Amino acid sequence: MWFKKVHFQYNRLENIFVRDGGEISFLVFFRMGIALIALIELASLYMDLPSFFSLSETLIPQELMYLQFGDFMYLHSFYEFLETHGLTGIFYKLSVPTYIIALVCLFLGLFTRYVAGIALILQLIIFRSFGPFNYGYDFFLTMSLFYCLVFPVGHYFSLDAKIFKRSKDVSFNYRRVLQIHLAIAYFFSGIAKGLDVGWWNGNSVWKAITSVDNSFYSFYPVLLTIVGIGTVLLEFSYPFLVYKKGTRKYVITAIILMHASIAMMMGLYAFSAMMIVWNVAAFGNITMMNKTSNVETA
Amino acid sequence: MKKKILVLFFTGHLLLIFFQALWANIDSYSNFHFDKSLRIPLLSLFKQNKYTEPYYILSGINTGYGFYGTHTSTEKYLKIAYLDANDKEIKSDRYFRLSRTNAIKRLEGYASFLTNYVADTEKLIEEDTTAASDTSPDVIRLRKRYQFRKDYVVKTLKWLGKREAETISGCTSYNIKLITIVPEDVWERKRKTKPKIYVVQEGTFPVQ
Repeated sequence: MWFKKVHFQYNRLENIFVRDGGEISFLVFFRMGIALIALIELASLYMDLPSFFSLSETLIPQELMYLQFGDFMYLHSFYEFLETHGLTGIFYKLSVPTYIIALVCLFLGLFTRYVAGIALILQLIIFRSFGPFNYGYDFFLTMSLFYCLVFPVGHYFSLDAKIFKRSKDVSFNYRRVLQIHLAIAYFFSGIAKGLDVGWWNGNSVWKAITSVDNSFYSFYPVLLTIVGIGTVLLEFSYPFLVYKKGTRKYVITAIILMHASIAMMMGLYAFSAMMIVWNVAAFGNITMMNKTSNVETA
Repeated sequence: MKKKILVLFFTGHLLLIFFQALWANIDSYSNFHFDKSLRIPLLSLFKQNKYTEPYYILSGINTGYGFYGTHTSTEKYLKIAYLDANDKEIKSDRYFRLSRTNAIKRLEGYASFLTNYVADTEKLIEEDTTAASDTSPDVIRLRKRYQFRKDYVVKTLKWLGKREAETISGCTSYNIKLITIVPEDVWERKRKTKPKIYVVQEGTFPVQ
């Protein structure tokens, strides 16, 4: 009896992750999209990176950057280990180039799982070393690289597939993991905003977009209120609207437009690009790739 | 068997995300409205704790999804003025040699972090309501903690301008300000008026 109940519950769980035909295009798009965004973001930061992460050119000493951050315990032990073994200089010289090579290999799908692991560890060490300068994008990149490590993203349209000719069967709907993750993220983001009165009267939108370098402070309060309420409702209802096939394309379009607006108005280009890639990978219908994937799985 | 492992692993992973997001929401709401962190035993099991922390960090899920949610803050920035021996401004700067939007946005994030840090330190100081002569271990610990935090902010501001100031001829000191845009009610403020700013923290340091 007890075993039957457990088995029944497990089957219900398994049904959540049943294949729906879009897994292969998802895996390919996700791998290439994440690697590309990470490379572009790094290129846009490359000139200024020594101010955040270097042996002697940082804005403030490296240890002051991570001293008051959650990962201090791990980073401090790591840097102490480097210091004890005289490896600090070599680490600073090699870490960023190694990270770039790992991302390029991830894009091409060469030794994918290994390079995803290397990229993940290096991204954590490099970027958390200037933790207070991190923002949402860095956390989403960590999550993305983690997914590239645990999902079989290198099994299709990759150099690995050409070289190693592995079995190409996918028995699990990895896309569903990203779909549920996104649904949780937007739902709680909607709740957090909804609990703040500022999102219902335009004040929070004004606070978020007003800068001493722009003139967004002069937007009409009515417009700010509409944007605020629209954002709360869109994010809160995202899991429900995206679940229904009939409303899916509208809510995905709306959320992409929202992220595009964030990119333009707040200058958070990398974060917006990352969220758009997640949304398209999770719910987009990449027709051309699906056709190809049918050939692959035949 | 592999499928069973995958189903159980990803179910656990998604549950952790759910609990972390739920806890982050409750915690930030409670902190803002009641000025205290809530302790919910069931959530404490799953949220980031010493047992789950390595996995949270490695998978990147050690974050909330508030995205400018509860108590959205206004823009914060740092401004430095390099001064000569007569305290006359030689030049001023907001970007600390950073050239690209990406890095400048990150610097703004840091200014936000510092502002919150200063505010939290002030809260700790307010908690110290005992007499100066009180030397009980808890009070000493509290005082050491906020003194450390005050020193951290001063040290950080000092470092931010140090290197550049040394390269400017005639510069004998520099002044750094941590500035915030003052929150206003959009329905009451004059629409076309520029936002007011407020200096959260300021420090002047000699070039050594």
